[in-house]
Amino acid sequence: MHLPDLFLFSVDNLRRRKGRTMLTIIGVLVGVCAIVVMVSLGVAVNNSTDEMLKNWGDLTRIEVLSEGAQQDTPKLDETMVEQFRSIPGVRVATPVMEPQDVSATIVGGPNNRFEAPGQLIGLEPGAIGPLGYALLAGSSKLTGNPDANRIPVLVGAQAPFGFRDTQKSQNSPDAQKYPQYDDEYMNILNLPRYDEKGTLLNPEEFFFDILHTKLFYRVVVGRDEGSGEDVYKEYELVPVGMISGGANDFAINNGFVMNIENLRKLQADVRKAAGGSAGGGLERGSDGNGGGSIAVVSSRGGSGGGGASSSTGGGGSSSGRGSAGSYSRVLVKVEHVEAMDEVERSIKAEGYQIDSITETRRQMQGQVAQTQMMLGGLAAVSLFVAALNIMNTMTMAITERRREIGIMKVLGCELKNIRRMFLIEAGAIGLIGGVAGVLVSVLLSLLLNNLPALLALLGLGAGGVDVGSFFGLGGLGQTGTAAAISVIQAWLIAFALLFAAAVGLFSGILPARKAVRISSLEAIRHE
Amino acid sequence: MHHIIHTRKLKKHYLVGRERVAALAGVDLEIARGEVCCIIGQSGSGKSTLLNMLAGLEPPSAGHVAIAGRKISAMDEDQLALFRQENLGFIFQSYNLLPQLTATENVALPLSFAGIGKTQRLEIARRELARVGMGKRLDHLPREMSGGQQQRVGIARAFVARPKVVFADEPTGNLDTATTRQVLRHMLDCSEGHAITLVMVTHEPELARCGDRIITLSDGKVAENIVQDEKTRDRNRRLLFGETDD
Repeated sequence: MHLPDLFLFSVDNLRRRKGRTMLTIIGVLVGVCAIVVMVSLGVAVNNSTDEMLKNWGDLTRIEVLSEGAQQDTPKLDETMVEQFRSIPGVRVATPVMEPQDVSATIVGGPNNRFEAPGQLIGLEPGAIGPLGYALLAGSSKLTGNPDANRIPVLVGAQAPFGFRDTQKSQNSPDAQKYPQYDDEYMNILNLPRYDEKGTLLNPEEFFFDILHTKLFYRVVVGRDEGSGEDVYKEYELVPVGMISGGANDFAINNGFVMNIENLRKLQADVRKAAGGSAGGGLERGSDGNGGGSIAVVSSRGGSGGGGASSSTGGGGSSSGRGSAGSYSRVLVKVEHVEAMDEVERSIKAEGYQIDSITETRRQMQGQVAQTQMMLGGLAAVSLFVAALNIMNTMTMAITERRREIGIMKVLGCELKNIRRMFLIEAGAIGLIGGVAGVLVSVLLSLLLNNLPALLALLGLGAGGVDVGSFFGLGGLGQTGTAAAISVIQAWLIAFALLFAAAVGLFSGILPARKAVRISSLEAIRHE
Repeated sequence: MHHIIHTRKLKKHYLVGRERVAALAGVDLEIARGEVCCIIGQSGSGKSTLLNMLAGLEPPSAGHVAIAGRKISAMDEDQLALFRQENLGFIFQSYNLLPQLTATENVALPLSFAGIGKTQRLEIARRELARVGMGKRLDHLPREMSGGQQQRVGIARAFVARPKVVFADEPTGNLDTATTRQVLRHMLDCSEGHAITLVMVTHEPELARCGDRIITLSDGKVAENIVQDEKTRDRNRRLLFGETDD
């Protein structure tokens, strides 16, 4: 018997019992709909978290923190950084030095009139490219330090907005240039733009062209006993290029990145200038001994003394810090997202706390998955009930058609064809229910995604909801739309249809077996 | 003449409560190819049981049935289904047309089981229906036809695949006398036209006398096994159908 004939026969039989078939199909519809909508909600949540996290920064970057480490964890020092580099999948690892100067600023412009609370960041120059920071202008070459007082730096793209005009009142709106944000993702629209020759294309947005202006790192090294004023020391910063750390790397975007070696030398110099005696007692905010109230070096222990990382160049006194030569933060860049788990596990195994977007994502996805599992379980129950329903319908159909089945057997219908007939019938109920379920789900999804708009349309008032952002966000096939509540992708539709058909077929197995067992004598039994 | 149907010591008993009731108590039969064989007997004589076993609808308790050299009493359900599809036709007392199918579709059913394409099998079915005088009722559903018409569709269905043997179980049991004659006529024509062996169970002796062989069953045994010569048979037929010698 040919398959099309079997199909026709099965569909014919379904049509004969329209009412019952419809009810059974509705059962499947509800089950499929429940599952599809549940999954679509989960997909939408995951999509929007992903979108959000993508906005936060690089998925393959891990921040290793010395804070919060366990007691017996080894120091986060050069040896450990070296060890991180040897973990398979790690592309690059660099310590991060960030002096937390309370009394240092970066100044520039005519008469150094503009001032920013700029943050110096020391990185290994070889790591800047691999870390994925985008070079927006100039070069990223930070090596070499021809003159101890002229240090090459990479300027963060948002750093220009940090400058304040010291000749204007602090409260004046003209004292600062402000970034403009777009609505959706808070991207800054007026970042500096340079052409290939290095010319600033939007100078009107800034006080000065930061890449072509002398900048100085001005740090307090003491206080004049007589006048009571601070004594500064200035170091010239030579901007060689501009980088962006991605949307959410605040430190890089607003900071001044230099070779970690240069930062060490600079700090040593500052300490020397501040007077050797004070240089030892590097405690943040200490204003104890005399005028040497110098809070030059960060509380984060990243000072590393004078020269090489392992040395305690500051003299014996600096050995008082337990964290000599250790870093507060190390950045690790991993080759692929797939390698993240393994690398993170290796680093955690050493006892360190880590911070990565992947870690955050995992936690968020974990929560979503949990909720989804629960709701999915409920949906599965309803589909299970639908399956029982199909079984019941088929069993009834077969009981009613005993005689017919007997006749077909007498007329030479092979058992496999009888089995197929009923399997197709059950499968068709599943598939039709699946199609209907998917259609209803898509409608529901559209409804959910446009709910505020619809409410507004009905005059029910979607108080304060940004209706505009909900428009044009049909759930079907749309991804990456932050506002979509429910996202039904092609794979979900395909899966739902296949699954519904499979459930139908599966529910048909027992009834079909029953049909096959019916005796051909049923045909000649007289009523 | 070759024997197309063969039985040896065919026995069937049923359990009624705890008692064993013999429906067939050892039947030995040979039916020749192309014969019209009528099985006659009182109700309870075992004639329907015999037919069921000959057609492979019921397994015998003991003994053998062979059709066209194949021992059907030893076949499993799958083999039997295929064997019936290729070799047997069946006419039921209550017609047993599938209610949702038209006359043509009902007749085409055995062909569809055999895997014949739709266009072709419907064409064959239409021709077969025309042969039994149902050419004007092709697209009628069973409920739109009289008993005699339904049985003619049943006959077309039994013969359409050109089987080796057609079994008929009281085919005229539900029909009035005039219709009975008409239906019987069609059966005999189909059987003779294609040299198909016809085995018919009936309780009406005058119908049985139209056959080449008349087997009388009594208490599950063959009481009489008469082969009529053609002359006698044809005279009986003319008598039944009310035709005159000429």
